[in-house]
Amino acid sequence: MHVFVNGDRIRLDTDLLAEIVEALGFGDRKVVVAVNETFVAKTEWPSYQVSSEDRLDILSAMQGG
Amino acid sequence: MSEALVNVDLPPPAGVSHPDPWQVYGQTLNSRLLLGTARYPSPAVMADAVKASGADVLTLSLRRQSPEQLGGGSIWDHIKGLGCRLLPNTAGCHSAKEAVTLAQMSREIFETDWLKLEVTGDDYNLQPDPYELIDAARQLVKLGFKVFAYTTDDLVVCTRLRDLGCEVVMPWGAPIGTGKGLTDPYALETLRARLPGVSLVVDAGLGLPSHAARVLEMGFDGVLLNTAVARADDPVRMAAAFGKAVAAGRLAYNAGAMAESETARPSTPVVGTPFWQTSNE
Repeated sequence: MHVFVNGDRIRLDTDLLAEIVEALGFGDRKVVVAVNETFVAKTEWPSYQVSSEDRLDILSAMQGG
Repeated sequence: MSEALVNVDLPPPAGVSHPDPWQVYGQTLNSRLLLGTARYPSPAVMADAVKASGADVLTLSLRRQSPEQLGGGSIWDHIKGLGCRLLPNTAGCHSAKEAVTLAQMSREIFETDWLKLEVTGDDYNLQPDPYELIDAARQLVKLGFKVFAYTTDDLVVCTRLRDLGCEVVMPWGAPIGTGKGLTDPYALETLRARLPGVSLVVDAGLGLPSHAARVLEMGFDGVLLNTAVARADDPVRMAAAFGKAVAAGRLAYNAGAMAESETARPSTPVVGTPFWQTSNE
């Protein structure tokens, strides 16, 4: 299955969001996720299934004005 | 000039920095300066500038990062010891849908329902889109967010934001990052007069501490700025200068300014003026 992660199209071996976040190396990072521009709370990640060609945004804190 | 006259007493700007605490969404803030965390020469300089300013609210954002970029670890390391309340923004959003989604993400990661709502309508001058802004504010208030709405100085838009439940409305002084100061003081004076019960914070466009002092002298509740401090030659000293200017402006507002006069009036008593003679002719 292919999805977009932060704008880049990549291939994944799982469709569970929690496993995707872990596989991408964000497992121990403080990040938040939206799928197709809709917020997905962290409590939903273990059971949330991503579909092919979904657009994931994985964000973290940054300086801002 | 003597050394004493250029000493800025860093940090903190004690004694003049907290003359008048205020309530924001039920929380007491000591400083009327809200400070951004972007565009500093380094995170360490940013942290020192925050301390020097006396600000107790900091703005932050959310952005895409790779795992190699530490998942935002750097900014967390530098803000956690400052003891400031966080105000995440929705900078970069161009629609209500984007802003609502980013707000929900911010609430989870920053663990606050405070939100600086920004919805850009024009990328040339980063002018807020009033239609999407009002739509987003309506949704976010219903979702329980404490919205600080960044907007132009349009009276009707600001009034609508207040009516929707935004306790803090933040008109611009000038477009973000320009440092031009107050491009339309009349519009801001009108806002203050027409919305006396709203916390009004001038956000963006300020370049000098005197701009900030004027905002507070006009009766505004506070200022939010970033670039004027971050891009100064010495951000830490400039942060201290803004902290003092904001405190001075508020102190002056509370003191009540004298009425302007179209003609000169001598300040030294006229009675007893020397060398003056009554003519007996």
